[in-house]
Amino acid sequence: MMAPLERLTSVESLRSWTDQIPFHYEYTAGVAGERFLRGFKDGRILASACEECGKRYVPPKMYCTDCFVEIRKYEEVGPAATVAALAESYVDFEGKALARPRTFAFVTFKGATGGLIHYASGKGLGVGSAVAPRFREKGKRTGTVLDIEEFVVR
Amino acid sequence: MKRVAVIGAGMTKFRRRMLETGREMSFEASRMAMDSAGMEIKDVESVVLGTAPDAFDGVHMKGEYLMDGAGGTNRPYSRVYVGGGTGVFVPVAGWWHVASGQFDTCLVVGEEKMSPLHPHPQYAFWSIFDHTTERPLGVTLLWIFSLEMRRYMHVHKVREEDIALVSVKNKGNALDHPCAQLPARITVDDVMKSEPICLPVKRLDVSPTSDGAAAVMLASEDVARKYTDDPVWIDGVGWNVDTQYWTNRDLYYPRYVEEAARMAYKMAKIDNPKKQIDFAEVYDPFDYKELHHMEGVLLADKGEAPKLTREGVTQRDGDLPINPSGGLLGVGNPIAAAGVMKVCELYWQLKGEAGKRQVKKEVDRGLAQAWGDLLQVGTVITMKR
Ligand SMILES: [Zn+2]
Repeated sequence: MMAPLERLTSVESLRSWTDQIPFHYEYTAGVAGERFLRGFKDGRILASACEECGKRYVPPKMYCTDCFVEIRKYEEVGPAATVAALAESYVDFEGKALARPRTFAFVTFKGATGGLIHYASGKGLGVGSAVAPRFREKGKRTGTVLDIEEFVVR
Repeated sequence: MKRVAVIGAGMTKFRRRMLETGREMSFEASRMAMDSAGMEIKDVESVVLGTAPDAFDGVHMKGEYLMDGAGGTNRPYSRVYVGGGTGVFVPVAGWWHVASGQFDTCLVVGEEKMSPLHPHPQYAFWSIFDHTTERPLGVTLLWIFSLEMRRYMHVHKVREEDIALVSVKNKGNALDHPCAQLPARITVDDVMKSEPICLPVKRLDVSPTSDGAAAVMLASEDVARKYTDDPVWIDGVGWNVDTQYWTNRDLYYPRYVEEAARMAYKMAKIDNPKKQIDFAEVYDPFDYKELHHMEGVLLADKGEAPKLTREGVTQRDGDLPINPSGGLLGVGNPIAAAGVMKVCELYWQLKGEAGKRQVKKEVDRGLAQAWGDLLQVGTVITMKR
């Protein structure tokens, strides 16, 4: 029998099977991730700082990938950030048109390596714009990256 | 071909659930192995990492994800994978990196984080069974292990109580392992009365699921001698994969393990393994598997392993200590990390650094073995002082 070239519409006629793998995940944020997410609750963006080479990682890592030593020091970065790149999405994950396009930015922080991808808006938003995070109201923060609503032009 | 030495080892605690991410555990084990060797990251020329299905950690392309925690960034780095046999296959892969002359050093890391997967890590195996003849029945891994255990018991007329002795020994040995997850002083009666899972397999016949990482540092002879006066040598490696049709072989004996062992013995010029191997870390995710594998690697005749166990030969103070670490039954079973843990144990035992776990007799050569896939792969390494 030839392999079906089209998506199956009647599985019974082909003696094929349907099944799904029924599992879900519960992840730990990890040592550095835990610090990072708790920082959001306080309205802070934390970097981990290597005491050997001075490199500061956003998001924080518990080790320096260059020196390969453990990092125990955490420092606040920002809130001032700079837009390094922008993208405008017109469709969602499944390819359906969004009600209105959504702008994403990759933002970086002075003195830190790495950065964050997040929603962004504001007058004159472009590459090089100075932006800052707008956090949710304190009582509504849950310790995820969505505690930041978006980055807005300062 | 260059001689390859192990010059450092390290491992995290094995636990049901760790706060550390897989990357962070990989870092901790890698850093310990480097510290124990006296090396820094600049001294690491290549990295091999082993980790079992992506479905455990819940991170697709897990090899790439774990890389920077294993010191792989901007280095020749690769992930190897042969199911449950991965843990002993990673140092084999590390060995060929160095033996080939391509690299003078290779960091070898095994990682597994099984706790993210719910309802149970076993679900990762949902789709490994044949979808026409097996999956409609709701087959679990326990079913085939139970069939295999029963077949082994039937062919050699082995009593369940003799198999339980392995669990008693290994969980007891693990009391002396600082990283152990399930060390315990238990009795045969405890095993026999433990919860039936899929008889003859009962709760205390089985190793736990775990999070953990372990690592060893390999070096060529020239480089090894700069770091230590008494390196431990990898003198034999072997691996072998049988057909994926587990139905098409007699389950009482792991012939693929024998083939892997024979490959390693040929390389190490071992013609009488019972005399030339002083102790072994064979793969023990289930208690009967230790017996199965002792026979597979030719350290016992077919059907003889239960007798040796009953007579105390395999205890730490016996003539042929088996799993002095406490094995997977006692230390824990983060799949790929568990196999590397066994190689770490060979290193510590051969260096005389195993502390309270140090076997009583003088040891010059040890063997580690892992097993996996659908009852089909055997991986073997022998190490010598
Ligand atoms: Zn650094």
